[in-house]
Amino acid sequence: MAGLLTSLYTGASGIYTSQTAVQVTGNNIANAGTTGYSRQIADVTSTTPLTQGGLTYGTGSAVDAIDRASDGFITKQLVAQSATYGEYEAASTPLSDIEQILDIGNASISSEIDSFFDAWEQLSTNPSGTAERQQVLQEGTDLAEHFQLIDQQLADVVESINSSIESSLPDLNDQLQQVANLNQSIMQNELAGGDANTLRDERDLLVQQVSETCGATTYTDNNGMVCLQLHNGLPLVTGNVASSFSSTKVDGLTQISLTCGNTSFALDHEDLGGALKGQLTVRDVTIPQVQSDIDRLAYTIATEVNTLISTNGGIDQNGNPATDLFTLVAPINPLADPWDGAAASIAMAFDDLALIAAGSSGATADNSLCLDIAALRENTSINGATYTEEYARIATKAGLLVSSNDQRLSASCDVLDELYAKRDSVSGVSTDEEMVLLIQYQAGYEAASNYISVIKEMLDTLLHM
Amino acid sequence: MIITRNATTYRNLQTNLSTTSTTLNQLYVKTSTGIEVAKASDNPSSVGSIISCRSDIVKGERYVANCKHVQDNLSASEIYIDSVEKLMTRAKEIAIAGANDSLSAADKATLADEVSQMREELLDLANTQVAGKYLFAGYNDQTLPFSGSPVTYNGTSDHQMIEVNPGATVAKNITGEELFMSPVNLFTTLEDLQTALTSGNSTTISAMLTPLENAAEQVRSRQSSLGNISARMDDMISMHENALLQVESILSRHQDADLTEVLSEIAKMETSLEATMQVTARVSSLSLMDYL
Repeated sequence: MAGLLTSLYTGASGIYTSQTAVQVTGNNIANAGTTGYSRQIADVTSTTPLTQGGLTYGTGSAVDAIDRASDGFITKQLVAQSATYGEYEAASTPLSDIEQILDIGNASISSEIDSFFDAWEQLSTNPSGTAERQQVLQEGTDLAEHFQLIDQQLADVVESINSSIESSLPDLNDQLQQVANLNQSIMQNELAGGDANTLRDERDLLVQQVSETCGATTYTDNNGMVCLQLHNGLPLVTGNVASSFSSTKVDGLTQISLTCGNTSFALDHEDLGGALKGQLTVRDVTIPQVQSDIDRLAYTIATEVNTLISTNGGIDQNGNPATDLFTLVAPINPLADPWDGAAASIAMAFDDLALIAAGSSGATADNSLCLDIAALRENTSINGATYTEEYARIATKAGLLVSSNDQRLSASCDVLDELYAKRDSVSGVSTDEEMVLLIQYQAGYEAASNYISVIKEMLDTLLHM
Repeated sequence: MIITRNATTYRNLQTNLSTTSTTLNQLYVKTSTGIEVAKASDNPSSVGSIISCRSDIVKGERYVANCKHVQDNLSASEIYIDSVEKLMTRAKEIAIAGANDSLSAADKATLADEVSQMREELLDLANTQVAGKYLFAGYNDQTLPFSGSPVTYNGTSDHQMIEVNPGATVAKNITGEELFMSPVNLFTTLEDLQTALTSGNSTTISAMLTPLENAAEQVRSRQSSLGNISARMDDMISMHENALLQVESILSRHQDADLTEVLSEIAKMETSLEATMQVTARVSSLSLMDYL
């Protein structure tokens, strides 16, 4: 038979257990709104029973461990989905910038093209008129400057992507280092027999953030350390060692490389995931394509107008054979497309009204060349399209990129929300549930206290005998 | 599935609030600008139509302006051609009067003088300038087209073609060549009449009637072609104006917001936003703690 003093200790264990459980509940309630927090559960077990006089009886309860409610599968899904979300989210700003540049409003370059050819049509009604000539010159200049502006604005988008990439790398490196440090701390804590719940929460959140920035897959090694890899297998964090990203500028573009130990690897948009992939894809795939399309449009308009003037034998007001209307700078690289850089370099060749050729005879009322130049706008020389149709194609393509990116972004946002809801249902804190637990533990505490006072009365009774 | 109020419920409400207010904001912008497709991604399939409609409007307006320009030019020419025609008719009357045997030599000399005056007048008409440009000079509209004795034509036989429809052009001018010189030379004809009146008899004067009639006919045929072109321009103008209305309505259909639709959509979204807000307020008031 157990002594009354043993019974006192049994009661005390109940008090301790309830108190600890209340503490855990309190912590849960306090962290109900903390990002990445996982609900903690007091793992209550029965203490080792005593065997005395052929009887085995329990000696109370104890909190064996404080567990963390988490689901590794959901955590992994969150890591993967964050990368997808990060990619579309990061691409959405520069893509809509590009769309704004390829405007379809009244001030778009297609209106400038219309106005330019309209000015020639107008000149045809009064070939020697200075006002009409001024109009041709002005519209030509506006057109050339609009091409330059588009080129400049695209370059600005590239520049802002560059600086955004550069500014995200220090944070990313810091996060990788923290994951590595946490791996170390968690292992030490747990080897010492402690719980590392908070550290684990912190690590899960960091891993997710890293994945959102650069895309990562995770695995857990033999020591329980979380290791991160890029999709192409390059290690980001191995155990307690973190790799680091660095950037260099090559031809005006920020190139990312990853240093693992003593080796550096250059990375492009296909090696990475997450926000970096989204930004690099826009910068290295979308923008060069748009730039080339716009260059080609500028080049085609400029060369077709120039060629027509010279093949028709245009004569200017001074009676001299007309010179080119537009100047272009040929690309330096002989292997490049002939239109490479045309949008940046297109300009009106002169600002002297007399140098415009309206006809091919030099006669004051000859307007034959005006008509032929105005007719160029019906030419279907770019991919079977006229100039403005080609511009419409370029703008439509940008619009499609934006709308499909938006759709994917909202889809991945929905998936992410769904995953968060799933994670919450496992790891989230429900204050109502915690209140119920609180009542339960409070009742346990009261019961244990009452039990102790009963034992005390029994002891009193015994002592007064 | 456990629904945690702090996390799940509030996150959902937050997402919905932001989605609804973003949509609402887009609708407000649509109402204030009146434009449905402001950027390509609003409706990529409309971009081609919008841009080609805009080009068509620019072209259509220019064609209307060109038609009017041609009409203006031709009606300026018409005034002078009418005078030429009257002059040639008068010359024929003089020839008929001059062919009368009973006319004295002095009377004939008076008539010859009048014809000489008419030659001068014809030369002035042929060298007519409007806004500093010679009307009947072809391409050389800044060089005196008729001069010398006998009168020669220094202009060109080119017509200034103006585009009035895609690929279709009309001439905005009558050249001095076709009006005064070829096939009948009006100046020579009048000179011949003057010579006949001065030195010829009634037979030679009568013989002038046919060439004079041919000359007048040449002028009249130009007159009628002017009338035809002008009538054609009227048709063209109304055709282009109708087409412009059509294109503008197509552009509006692709580009402009349907205000009725947008406004009813706004009402719908506002109701939904209000409901979301009310629910948000109510969620926080429901708690187990109220009953403890």
